[in-house]
Amino acid sequence: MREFTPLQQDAICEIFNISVGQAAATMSQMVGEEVLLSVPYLQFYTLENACELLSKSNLRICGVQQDFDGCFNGHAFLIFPENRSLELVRLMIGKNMPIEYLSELEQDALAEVGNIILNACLASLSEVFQQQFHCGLPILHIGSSQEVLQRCQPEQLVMLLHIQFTLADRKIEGYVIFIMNSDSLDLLVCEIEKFLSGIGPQASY
Amino acid sequence: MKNRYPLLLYSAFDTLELGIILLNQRGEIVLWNHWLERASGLSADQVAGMRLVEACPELQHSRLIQALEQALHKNLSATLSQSLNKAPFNLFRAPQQQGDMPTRMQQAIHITPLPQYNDEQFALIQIHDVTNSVMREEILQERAESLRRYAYQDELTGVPNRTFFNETLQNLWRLAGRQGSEISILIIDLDHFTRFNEQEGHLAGDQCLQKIAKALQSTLRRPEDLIARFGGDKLVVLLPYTPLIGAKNIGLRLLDVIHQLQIPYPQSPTGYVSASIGCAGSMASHELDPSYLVQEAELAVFFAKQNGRNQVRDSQVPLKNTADSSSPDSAASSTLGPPH
Repeated sequence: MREFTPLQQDAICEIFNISVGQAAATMSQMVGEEVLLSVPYLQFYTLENACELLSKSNLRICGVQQDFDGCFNGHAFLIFPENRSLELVRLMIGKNMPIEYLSELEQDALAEVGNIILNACLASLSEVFQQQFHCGLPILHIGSSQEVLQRCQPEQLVMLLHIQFTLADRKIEGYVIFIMNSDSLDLLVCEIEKFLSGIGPQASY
Repeated sequence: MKNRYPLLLYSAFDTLELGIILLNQRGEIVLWNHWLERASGLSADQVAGMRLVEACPELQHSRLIQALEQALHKNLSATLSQSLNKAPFNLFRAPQQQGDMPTRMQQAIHITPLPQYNDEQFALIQIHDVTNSVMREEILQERAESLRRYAYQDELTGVPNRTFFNETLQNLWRLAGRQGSEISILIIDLDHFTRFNEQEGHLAGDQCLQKIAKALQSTLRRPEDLIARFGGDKLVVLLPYTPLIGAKNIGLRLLDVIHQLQIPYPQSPTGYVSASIGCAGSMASHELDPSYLVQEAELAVFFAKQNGRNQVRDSQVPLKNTADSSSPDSAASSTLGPPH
């Protein structure tokens, strides 16, 4: 499978760190409390291995999906173990309800959290590519990792970013994943390489 | 698709039961449907060509404006949930009854970019009225909360019920196991209560239980001590961080409190309602199930009954002839199971 060199990995983590930092600022403003977000590292998997990894510690996961289309296309997901996602929403909304119960309005809130983070990540990818993606509205799925990722093709590749939230003294870990065809991935590697060597147009930040 | 019916589309937008705003690349209002005119009090003619923040200054610095920028310049869609964005637009619902004040509308908002083939970019804002859902959810939450309260409360005495006792015991047992501390319980069984009910009537029986439960509850001093109805004529007291000897002393105090209430019962040797109290205590550990404590305390109640009632006992097997050394008629406060 295609792998990034350590330098390429660092570069792409840095790009995503800047964008999730902006997402965190937006969320801090919304909840009136400091929200910190970081992407410590990323890894590549086949779809099958990614499903396995995601269901390792938790059978049920919660995923916010946004599909994107452009020179580089695929599906983007923000994924949390189900109980962690509820905790996150509770911390943001400030309600103290039994953890098993996720109402319709809280589901919307979770879709919005996913939307903010995924948009930030997609925006930075579009900066790297110097091209825009068309991107749909977020959809929330709750279930096993196979159920959540069922619309993806088995031959597609998964770029998995670990993402760490810090909110109200709590740390919550989740993943942002991009599922794409191998030619999309080749394109991404190519653009990162251009970005690094400074041949390509400089990103505006 | 060539649109042959532009006017039809306009009237369709106007009849939709949600708010529709269409903005051009510069963020100027191109379309503002009839639903929005009603909810905002601003007519389409008034706002046409204005930038959204000029028409709706309340949106300044909001996430909605950021999301619009992303839609217009980066082609990204956005969802704004009601819980995380408290009513961004100044929109109001018509009062339900005449004379009522209009209420502020709770909103769920979607923003989608609409790129055109000539590279012109538009953004569509859809606003849903979710006020009813919010109110329904609040009511459901209140109900769930009160159901939870009722589910843990004994209807007759007002103290927690056995379900609550069992759950609390399990939790405290685990906690005490980690801390290496002791837990004790007392089971308080009213003497001859079945007969009291038959002779004095069930109403008097109920009142007696209520009085005793209330008096015992106010006797417990530490906030972590718990009294609950164990069932029938039995109450149970949970005493965390308490060794057996301390529990026995508290048991004696409770026996005295019951005596002081002086609830008349002529058939009782003391002339008043009395109780047999069984106590059990143990160092909490993960190898032992806390139901062990309950079994021991019930056994202790049995011994107390055997030994003449109106006393505090633990579950140690009583020595022979001990019945002689303890008078069942003696004052409650001085009655403790015989030494062994």
